[in-house]
Amino acid sequence: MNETPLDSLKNEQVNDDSNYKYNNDENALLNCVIAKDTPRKIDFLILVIETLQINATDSLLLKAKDIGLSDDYSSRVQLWKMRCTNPLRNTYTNASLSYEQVNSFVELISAMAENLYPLIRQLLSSKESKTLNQERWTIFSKRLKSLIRERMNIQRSYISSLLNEENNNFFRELLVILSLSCGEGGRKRLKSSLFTQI
Amino acid sequence: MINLSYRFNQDSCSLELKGIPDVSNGDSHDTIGILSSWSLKIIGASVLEGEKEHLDNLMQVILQYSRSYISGIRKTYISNKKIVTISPFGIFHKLLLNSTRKEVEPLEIILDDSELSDLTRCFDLLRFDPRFNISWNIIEELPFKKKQNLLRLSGLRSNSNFLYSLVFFLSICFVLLFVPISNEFEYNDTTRTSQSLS
Repeated sequence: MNETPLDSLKNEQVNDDSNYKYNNDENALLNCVIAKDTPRKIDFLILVIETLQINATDSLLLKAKDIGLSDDYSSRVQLWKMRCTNPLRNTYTNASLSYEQVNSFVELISAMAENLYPLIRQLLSSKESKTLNQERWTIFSKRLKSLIRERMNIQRSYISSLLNEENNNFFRELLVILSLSCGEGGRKRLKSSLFTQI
Repeated sequence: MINLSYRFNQDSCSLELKGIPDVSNGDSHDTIGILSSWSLKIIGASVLEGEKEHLDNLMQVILQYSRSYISGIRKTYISNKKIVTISPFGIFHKLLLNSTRKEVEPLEIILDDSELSDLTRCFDLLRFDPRFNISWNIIEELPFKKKQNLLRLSGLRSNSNFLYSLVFFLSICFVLLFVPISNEFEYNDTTRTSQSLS
């Protein structure tokens, strides 16, 4: 967890395109470490993507292949193993994410958020019909809560408070993160939010 | 001289920039190197126009605000010379624009999350567009320090259970301090039962 990005940059990198991106971000992440809540945040963001899109896991793996991400995305099991670093999960592994893994998650989430932007925007908009918006939120929160119940440790007070929350503030926060993660600028924004300066 | 015009459209806003190539700087015929005018249309608000400095200020403030918003921090950002201000306004965001002309009243625009992300996307598209050879005065997205991250609302909420339990424990301890202890109890030392051998 305390490994700085530059240490792990020495490791094998994915392809030429991502090499360029890594080098650009290198200076911005000097003296930074992965934030404590990063695995949790990443897992919840993917959970929201799964809520918005049916068969999202297949889409995630396909997208990862398209943008040339590493072998971590070769199968569902590999992806699941990385997501199990979220301490709130039922099947939590006491491992931490490496810099490359966080970076690849950022690429993937940003690309998926770009695809799902119209849906995310609809949920965040206050200018549309109130009843229609309420209906959309009911369906969205119901589906997300069922996924949380299925995957997370409901004994944890944080999870039970999320499930009992009526105003969906946390779900809204996650949607805002996704909406601001689209594109090149969004990717940088999301990445810097997952690190902390020492 | 060729006048160039490029437009960036998102759902609720449209940004149009006009300019000419800076031949002395080696710009190609389709690159804007000198900005002559810009206009920003946000649905439900007046058309915004101005000089490059104004656009710079607007971009800087919006992108900084979005950067902190993605980390769950909502705070006010004010540009140089106080031309542009953005601050949280309930669940919305208030954009306040002061004109450099004295006779013009300040303009106030209330944005919801979807409009803020549309505007952010417009500016992201502009700053990474290779058709522009203009240096924008934008602060690079950097990870926050741990202290700044403590401001996060969600973070505070996740620690609230611990805080409540601590307060509860301390208050119970305080009450117990006033419970009288009975001093009349006679202590019989059962260990002193040894008898002399003689």
